[in-house]
This record gives sequence, C-alpha cells and structure tokens, in this order.
Amino acid sequence: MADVTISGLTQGIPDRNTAIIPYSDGTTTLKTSPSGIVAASPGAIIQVKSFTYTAKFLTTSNNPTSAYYVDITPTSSSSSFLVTASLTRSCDSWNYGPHFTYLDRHINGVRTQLYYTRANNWAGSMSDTWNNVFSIPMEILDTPNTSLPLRYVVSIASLASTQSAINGRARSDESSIWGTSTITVREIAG
Amino acid sequence: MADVTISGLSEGLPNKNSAIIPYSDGSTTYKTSPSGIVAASPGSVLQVQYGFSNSTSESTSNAWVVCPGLSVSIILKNPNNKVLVQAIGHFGIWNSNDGYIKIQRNNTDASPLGNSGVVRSSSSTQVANSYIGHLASTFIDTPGSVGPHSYTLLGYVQTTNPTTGLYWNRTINTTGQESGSAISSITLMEIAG
Repeated sequence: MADVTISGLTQGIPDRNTAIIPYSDGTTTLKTSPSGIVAASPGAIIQVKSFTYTAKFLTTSNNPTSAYYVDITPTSSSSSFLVTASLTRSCDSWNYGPHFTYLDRHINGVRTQLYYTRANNWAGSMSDTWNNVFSIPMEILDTPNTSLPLRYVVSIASLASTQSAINGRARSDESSIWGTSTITVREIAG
Repeated sequence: MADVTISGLSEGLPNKNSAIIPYSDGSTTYKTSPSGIVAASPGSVLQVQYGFSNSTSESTSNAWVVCPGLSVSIILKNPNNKVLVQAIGHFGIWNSNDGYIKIQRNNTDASPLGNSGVVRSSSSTQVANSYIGHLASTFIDTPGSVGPHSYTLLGYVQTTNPTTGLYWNRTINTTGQESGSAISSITLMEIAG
C-alpha cells in the first residue's frame, strides 16, 4: 500500500492519539507517548519516575532500613525497569564495622534485594570516619514480570551497629545536609 | 479526532511502511523499524542492554584490570545511532593509592580520559582493608557501525607498592568486620541518530 498520512492528532497529550498499526504478529496496539509521538518499540523507554531525598537519614540498625523510595505501575507485565540510584553517604566505621547500601524491589510489601555494596569509604584515620561524606552510584535492570505496582526502595544498614547516614555525616550531634540522594526508574518496553 | 486504524501494511519489513504522524512540532516523519513497527524519533532510546558482576579478582600489577564477568554487547539498528554508556565500578585499593576506571569498546578505549574521577584509600592498614571505592562514568559513544559492539569495564591503581593492587567488587580483607562486597555494572542505551 502507499504511505499513509495521519493528520489532526492532538499534540502533546499522553495516550490521546491511538494508531493501530499491524505488527509482525498483526495484533499490537500502539499508543502515543507523553510527547505526542507513537510509542513504543521493544527497548524504548516509555515511563520515568524519580524521587529526590533531601532530608538527613541516620540509623544504627544492623538490618536494612528503608530510607526513601519511588513507586511505578508497569504499563505491561513484559516491561523491564532500569533503576538508578545515587546516594550521598557517610558511615561511622569505628572498629571497621561494615556498612551496606541496598536497592530493593517491593511488591505488595514483599522485599527482593536487587543490588548492594559495602559502603565504607574513607581515606583518613579510623577515629574520624564519621566526618567523611561520599557518593555511591547503583544501577540494576529489573524484570519483575508483573503488572502489579512496584516500589523501589533504597535502604541502608550498619552491621556493626554504629551510625550510618544518608545526606549528612554519620553523627547524631550534627543535622547539616551535605548533599541529596536520588532514585530514578525507567520503564523499558518489552 | 477519533482513533485511527491503519491496515494492510507489509509485515516485518524494514522501512517498508511509513506513517506520517504529527509530532509536537508537527513536522517529523517516522518510518517503520526492522520489526515492522513505527520507530523512532531522533534522540529516543531504542534499546537497553545491561550487565552486572559481583565476581571478584585481585591484581597486584601496575596495569589496567578488567572487571571479571562484566562484558555487555549491543547491536545497533543503524550506523548513525549512538550509545549512551553508564558504568559503575566498585573496588578495594590499599595504602593511599589512587584508583581510576575506564570503559573499552571492542578492546579499544572508549570513555573520555578521567571522566569518572579518582578514589584514594587510607594509609591506615585496617581502614584500607575495609575500604571500597565507588566510581561512575557516563558518556555518549559513537561506534559508527551496526556492530555488535562489546563494552568492558577496567580499573587501575596507581601504586608504588607492587604487592598491593586492585580488588574488584570486594574489600582487601575477605574475613571478619573488614570484609565486604559489591556489584559493578554497565548499561548501554542505543540512541536514534
């Protein structure tokens, strides 16, 4: 057939315009994206959610303790989710006790650990570790195979039960904010 | 306007079917992709490839060391397309040494030199034993051909002590309070050119 021209579509309104175009299997319906263009071939990014945490978070718990999160509802159960987090972090590493940072997925309250790293990071003397503030990047591609609402959670733990912090120094006698922490989730069409 | 149905397009043939759909600027023409569906405005993400590794290694040489078990490949749909590369590396280093990362495509340097920064460990033995440095690098790569293109993550420790080096995805000490591990990763996004 000849090329087809569609005119008069509403511009820039999510899911306002629908064009049914035969896929190779002849069954797929494609909807317009928030920019007003046709979405989404497999691999395309079809939804982004992000959260910036600006408060100070301090814990001495040796269990993973939720600090902040972002929610996203899948467009399709076949989607994947690229989860990127960047933390401003501090740890009181007295006695070299391990501190960890985690990136988890929660579905209906059920936690699945996706990513982790030991967080100790200090170039000075052991007695002063709680004054060091540093950055931790994390990224994971998650394929939950569900259309249920997802919650991606950043949590931290101090396995030595010393102070462990986000966005500030790992000491309870100081409330200053030294940075912010983020989490971004991108839904990728399957 | 009402929903529009287009029928009778040729199935699964690259660029065989063309549908002109008003963009937000009202001017862009989209052609169908190799899968037979409408693709892809310039700048949009066409595919994402991801790999991670928590495998560990220990090197005491003054040389770039590949992160074990971490290699991610991508096959571009068009030679004009670009690759957004995001890499995260975690490693232990010792005794006031400086650590760096870089990314190679097909065993050739791809990342701009120094765009990931530098980490430095402590001169205190026990602090250094429990230390993990965290580095991230993000850049746009232009392979110039459809591929496949394989990306790897490498680390380097500038050390004057040949008995110490770089410890991918772990602390130097692997027992007791000083031990710990991590996950390094590479994410590739194909960007329509």
